[in-house]
Amino acid sequence: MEKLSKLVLVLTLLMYPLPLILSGYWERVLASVFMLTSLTYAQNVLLGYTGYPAFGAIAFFGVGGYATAILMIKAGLPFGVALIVGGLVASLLAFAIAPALMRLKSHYFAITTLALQIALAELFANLDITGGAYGINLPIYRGFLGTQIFYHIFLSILLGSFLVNLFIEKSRFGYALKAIREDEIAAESSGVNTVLFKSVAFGIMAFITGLVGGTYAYWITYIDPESMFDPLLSVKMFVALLFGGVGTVAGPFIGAFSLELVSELVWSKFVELHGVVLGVIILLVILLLPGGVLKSRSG
Amino acid sequence: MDTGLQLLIESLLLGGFYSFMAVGFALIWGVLNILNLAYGSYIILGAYLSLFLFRYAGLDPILSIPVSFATGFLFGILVQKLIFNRAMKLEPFMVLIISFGLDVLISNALNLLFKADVRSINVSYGGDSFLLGEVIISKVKLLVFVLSLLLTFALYLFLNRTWTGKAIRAVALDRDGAMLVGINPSQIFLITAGLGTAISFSSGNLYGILQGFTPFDGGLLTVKVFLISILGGLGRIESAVAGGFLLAFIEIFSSFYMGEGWKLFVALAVMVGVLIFRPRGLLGSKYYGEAQ
Repeated sequence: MEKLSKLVLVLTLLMYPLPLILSGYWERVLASVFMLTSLTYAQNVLLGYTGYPAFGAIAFFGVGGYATAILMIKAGLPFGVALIVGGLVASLLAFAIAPALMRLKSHYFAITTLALQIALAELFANLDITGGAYGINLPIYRGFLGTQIFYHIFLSILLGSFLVNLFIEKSRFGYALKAIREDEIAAESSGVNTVLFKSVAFGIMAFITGLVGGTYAYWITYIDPESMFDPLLSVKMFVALLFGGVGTVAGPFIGAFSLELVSELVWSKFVELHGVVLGVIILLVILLLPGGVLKSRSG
Repeated sequence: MDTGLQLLIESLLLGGFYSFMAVGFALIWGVLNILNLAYGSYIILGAYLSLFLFRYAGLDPILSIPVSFATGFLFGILVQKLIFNRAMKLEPFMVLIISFGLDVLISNALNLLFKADVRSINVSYGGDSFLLGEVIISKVKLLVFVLSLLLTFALYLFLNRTWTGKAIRAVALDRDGAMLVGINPSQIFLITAGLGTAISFSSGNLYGILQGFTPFDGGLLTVKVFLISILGGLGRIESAVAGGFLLAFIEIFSSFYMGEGWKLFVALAVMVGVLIFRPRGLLGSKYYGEAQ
């Protein structure tokens, strides 16, 4: 594991200068791979280390994206500031609802987050400030580095979320989360403030997910409820996580890279079959590799 | 004309259909502890099957309900054997993801076969309606309502009067206890999966004559059956019926008074409240999955 984490770190750093030699196509493909990897790392904090499956976690992708877009368009904030505030909005929302939400266990928790996701999508499709079902247009970025900037932002979020996972793996904070995952009542009785720790883990997950959503919004320059609250993206990140190995530092990287690259190859060759193949991949990954490529160290 | 009364009747008619549509989902959830996210796509499969039979064999969608029921029953058993029997050994969350994968697979396969155009089954009695006092009643909606109630009642009798039905309820209440009295749970799982899927396919026939459909309508239907199960609770037919009528009332009244776009949001908001404050639903009773 130790070696794999170092490998992931080196690979990530090596990818910074890559746009110098990459074609525009591969630059976009890799940017979307980084996006999925970051989302998967965010989920790993919650599902992998804390044991809570937030099936509708993509809600915070939408919140982050919309908050960033609204702050840029309506409040005239520069992208960098809007993005950070957008991430904070997502994590504050998560932190606020976590104590009530995280009383629920297993698939009741999973489904309530899914309900939250659909409810927010419906809400944003009806409000004026979010542009209703029509959505919001963002300006095209024409500054430093051109569209290459998004490659670097996604890569940096990936690096940051990887470091967060590494920290959790090693720190006391991480031990507390793992204790909650293994046995919440035992953790509580040995002095872990479970509500606080769960909520912080939920907030971290939402912050990273919100940052990715905000970057995505500016990258594609047009957002609507359907694209920002897409259940397919949500499932892709869980399949990537499950494929790579839940609760490991290298797993999300391996899972997201393989899934997104395979999916991209299939997509470009058989546009019509893409959905069918994705469905088959999901079934096969779970049925054949329920533990993932890297088995989680228990305890 | 009295708007309130008209809305009330509309809600009742829709609620009957919703109850029947959701009863299979609630049954599978209650007995097998599987939340099948592909259930909505099963309904759409039934709708396409009845469209196919209507077009090429001239069979009326009402008359082809037995065909859909039988096909759904076999399909449900097949999927249970191939996929869910293995998946049930994993965590419940994995089963959620698997069933979502199945949903992606079915809706995209239907899209390959039938394209994404809106299809509808134009039965000859489709447009008729009559006046009852001051209320307009559509004949198709009334027909669907009556059939839904009859079929739901038949299921109720099956679960309460037959040995197999009682065995299904026994497994739902206490898997180990059921084994002690000689019930084979894996057999009951297969029957329940078949029965639940048969109901989804049959409700597809009714859905097809109520409105047009596309391969990707399954997702929204899954959300609806899920809402109904949460609102009403699990474990009993009555719960699904209560949830079905409640969802219909919420949808009809909120879309009239707040606008069409708000109906799903209102229903979901009510559901989140129910989940947080009364996770068992309005009429829910104990079932096996909860005891775990």
